[in-house]
Amino acid sequence: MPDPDLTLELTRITDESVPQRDGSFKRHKTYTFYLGKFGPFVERVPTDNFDDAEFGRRVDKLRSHLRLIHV
Amino acid sequence: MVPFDPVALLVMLHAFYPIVTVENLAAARRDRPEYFAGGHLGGSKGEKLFLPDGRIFDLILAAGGPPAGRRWQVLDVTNDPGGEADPFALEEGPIVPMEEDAIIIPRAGPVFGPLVAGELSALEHDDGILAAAAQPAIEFTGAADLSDGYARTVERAAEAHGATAAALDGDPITDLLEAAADSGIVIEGTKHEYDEPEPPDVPEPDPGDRPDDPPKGPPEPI
Repeated sequence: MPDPDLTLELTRITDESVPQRDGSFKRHKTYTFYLGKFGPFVERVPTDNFDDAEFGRRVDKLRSHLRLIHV
Repeated sequence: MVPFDPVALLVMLHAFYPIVTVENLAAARRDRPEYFAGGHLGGSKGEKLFLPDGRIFDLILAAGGPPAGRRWQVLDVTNDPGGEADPFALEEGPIVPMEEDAIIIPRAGPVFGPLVAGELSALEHDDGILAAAAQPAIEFTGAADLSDGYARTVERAAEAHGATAAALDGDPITDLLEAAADSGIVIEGTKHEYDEPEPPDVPEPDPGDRPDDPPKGPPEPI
């Protein structure tokens, strides 16, 4: 059985800042995307402590599990 | 509002929450609410997702079972919300999974004493059998037999050995030493020249003809 098409298709990227109770702000970038025909997936990546590759790692992890269930 | 996609929810749970627990499901609902499409968790153990449109999904297979048997799933149970999510559920057996929160308290009373007493009580009317079984041990004469055998063999051998040793102690060996000293005079193996005639030399044997020599003709008539 051939591998499913899991091409990344980003549909929305937003920067958000959520005020915390201590007065600080929690900033993250929200990605809304499809992997082939599957989705939408929504991943919220913090921008303070994570590097730019964090989103790519999450996409790879989702792809690997999509291949496992291979619906 | 992001539309609900059961495959995306299932893959997200597999990818980011490898340990299947109700607590992890609640954490996923809190950290990634978009995958749950505004639904809320509920059910007897909190493993079901109730969507605003009325659909109900069971998200944990065997949520009440042992952790090793749990699996993520997104199973539509809208028409059977109270039914078992596992269509291949096993029948109840004599051994049931142990509760995770159960605390095993050690028994306070003795364990082996009552067991032994119970086994012995079944034998209380069998004194005759026990007596018969013990009789060979009571009448055992092996020790006396061993003493008799020792006196008959080892002690007699020890007495004979003692007599031989005493006889040897009383027999002086000076005559043997004198005889040994005289033996050198009698033999005199190295004090005289060898005066016997030499044996004759043995002639060298004839090796015969070589195999590649031309054959000799027939012997001439005499």
